[in-house]
Amino acid sequence: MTGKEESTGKTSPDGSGASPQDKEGGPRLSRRRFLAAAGALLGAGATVAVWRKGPRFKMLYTADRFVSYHRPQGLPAEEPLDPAWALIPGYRVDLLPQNVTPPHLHRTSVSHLVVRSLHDGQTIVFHLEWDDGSEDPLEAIDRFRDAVAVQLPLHPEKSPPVTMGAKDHPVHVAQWKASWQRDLERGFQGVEALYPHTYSEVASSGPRGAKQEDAESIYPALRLKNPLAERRRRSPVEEFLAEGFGTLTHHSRQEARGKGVYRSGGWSVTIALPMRGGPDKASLEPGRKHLVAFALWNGSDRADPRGEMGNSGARKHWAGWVELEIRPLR
Amino acid sequence: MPRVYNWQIGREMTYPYEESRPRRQFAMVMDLNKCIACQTCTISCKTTWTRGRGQEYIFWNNVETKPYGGYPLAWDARILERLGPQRWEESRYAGKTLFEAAPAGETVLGWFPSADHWMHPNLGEDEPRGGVKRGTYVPGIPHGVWMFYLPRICNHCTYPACLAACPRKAIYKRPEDGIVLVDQSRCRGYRECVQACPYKKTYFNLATRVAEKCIGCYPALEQGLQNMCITACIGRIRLAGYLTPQVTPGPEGRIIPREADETNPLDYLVWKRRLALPLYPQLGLEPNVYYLPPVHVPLPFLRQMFGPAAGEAVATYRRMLEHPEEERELRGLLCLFGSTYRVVHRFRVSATHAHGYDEKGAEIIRVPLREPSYVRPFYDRERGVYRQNVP
Repeated sequence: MTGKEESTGKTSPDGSGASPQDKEGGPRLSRRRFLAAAGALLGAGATVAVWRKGPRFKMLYTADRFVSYHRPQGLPAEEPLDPAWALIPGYRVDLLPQNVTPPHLHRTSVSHLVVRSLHDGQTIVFHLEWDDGSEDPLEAIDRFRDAVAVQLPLHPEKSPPVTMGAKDHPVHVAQWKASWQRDLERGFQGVEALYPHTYSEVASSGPRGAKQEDAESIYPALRLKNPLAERRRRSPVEEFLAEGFGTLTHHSRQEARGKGVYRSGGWSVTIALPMRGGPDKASLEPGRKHLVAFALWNGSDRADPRGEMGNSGARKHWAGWVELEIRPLR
Repeated sequence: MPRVYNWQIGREMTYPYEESRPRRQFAMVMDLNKCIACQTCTISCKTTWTRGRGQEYIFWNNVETKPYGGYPLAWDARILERLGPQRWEESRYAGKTLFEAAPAGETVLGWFPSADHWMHPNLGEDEPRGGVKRGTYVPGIPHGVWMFYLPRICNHCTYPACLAACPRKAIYKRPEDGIVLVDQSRCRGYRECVQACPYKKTYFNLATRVAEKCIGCYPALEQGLQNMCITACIGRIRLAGYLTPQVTPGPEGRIIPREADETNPLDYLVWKRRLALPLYPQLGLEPNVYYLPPVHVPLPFLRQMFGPAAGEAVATYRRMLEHPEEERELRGLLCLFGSTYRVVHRFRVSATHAHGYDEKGAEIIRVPLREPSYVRPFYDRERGVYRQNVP
């Protein structure tokens, strides 16, 4: 059992007034079940306290698969706080520490993600929420950023390993990074942002205000077009192709969009991907069998044996494949 | 996990990858008896390679005062403390290397410095061990009150911990010269290398968000030139070259280089004389920067830092100082340190001069064993002036 759905169940995402469950024949939120659930909640004071601090859209009941609902217009691809997200059920994904390949995450600091999805036949948007006591948008000497990723197999019918795929089992990964989100909103977060009161005699070589060729002469990573070093972000989401651990490769076609907002002790993030796929990308067709997996990094969590390393790279939270049902177009 | 041979600890050990030695190994020798911590090496390196923003705290080359100095703060004390007390049996290391002591789920026993640990590049400068009171004097060797300077660059290890710990395989060791590099297009800034390298010679660049490290001045080496930190060194304490890397274990843990060339300065100092010693060989990385240990420092400290051969090396160095004629060859080779921009592949010491040769055998440098000196009278009759003691 991997999933639980949640819904406030008032109006459907297309605004027709009926909940998706009503239309698709999913679990109906009866008055009796609602009262039973509410009673159980009130009985557990601690649980209620946690929920108050928790994600913005509450979980109420369960489902056995993750569903992407059709929303023909107004897809909230870069609006993680859009009310449309409250109208569809959330799916709970329990997270595990990555302890298959070194370096391990030795324990989790985030227990679960709540994921939702909408699509319009052209673009699919994943909405991811989790509790995180600290917003970590900066990367510095000993500071690590928050991030979340979705992983989609190119060939779901071949049951690829969840370990970032394997040889001949490529996976398409889209990762949202809090650091890139901050870069987009405030400009590249270099030394000036990390240490605002420092004086430097070599401002011309800095990431801001420097000529590109000057900067390239100082930073080989920039010259070699390492995406981490890029100074002008177009999206907070980076797309990859992978065929197993250690093979993560920046995708030559970057099309993903998204946005992350930190609010009330947690992140709400959207990751939007074209559904048509194309070379080395997952294609997502309504009605076909799909799989999706998730990974999460909590930057401020120090989860190595000595409590020193933040979540980064292989030190991540992850979860196994979830069956993704893409509802047909209406 | 593969078993590899580490000649510096006289035994096999575990390492994540198979043994794969380069065709020849870039190596550097530093004479700690000569370093004065002027930091000219540090500045020449900094202005050449790491002058940008985001690299403010990055020193591919640094010089620290031992025993108390260290950049980052107490890097060596911390890793030795984590490793715990270990034991040598003669020249064979009976303790655990950092790879063998790694906790479950980790590749290397490491330490990840916080930003605070990087804030004091020269803390502990000139701090001696032991107090100096009124009337204290130092009668002999070793000194009761002592300190020395330790210049450091990346050790371009045969078994790099940074390379072992990188989950992306973004760090590689060049087969042509054994220089260890971070692929700047492949690195994703996870900083596993920063945690893993016990010498703390990989750094996170704040302006590119990827790791950087000493590149051994490979663009210069490829043209037959020595490194910036060497050619700028005013104390002439350094020499770079190539070690013959093929080694096989011999009796009693002694190593037998298969094709060692005694006319190669590096082979001579490291293999033949065992005078140039690796830094903390017990950590198991087989580092390739070698030090002539300071003769005035108490031996227990030198043995901890340079391994069990430290006593022998100090004795050899002192013999060279006290009986220069007996150690003419060694003394001649030390004269070649810092005497040329070019890489010396072979050397020869005649009765009066030390000669350095390039890869093709052509002489590139000739240094007199004794500098000529001239004594001129205080009063110059010809010019009718008194000579002051200036050049």
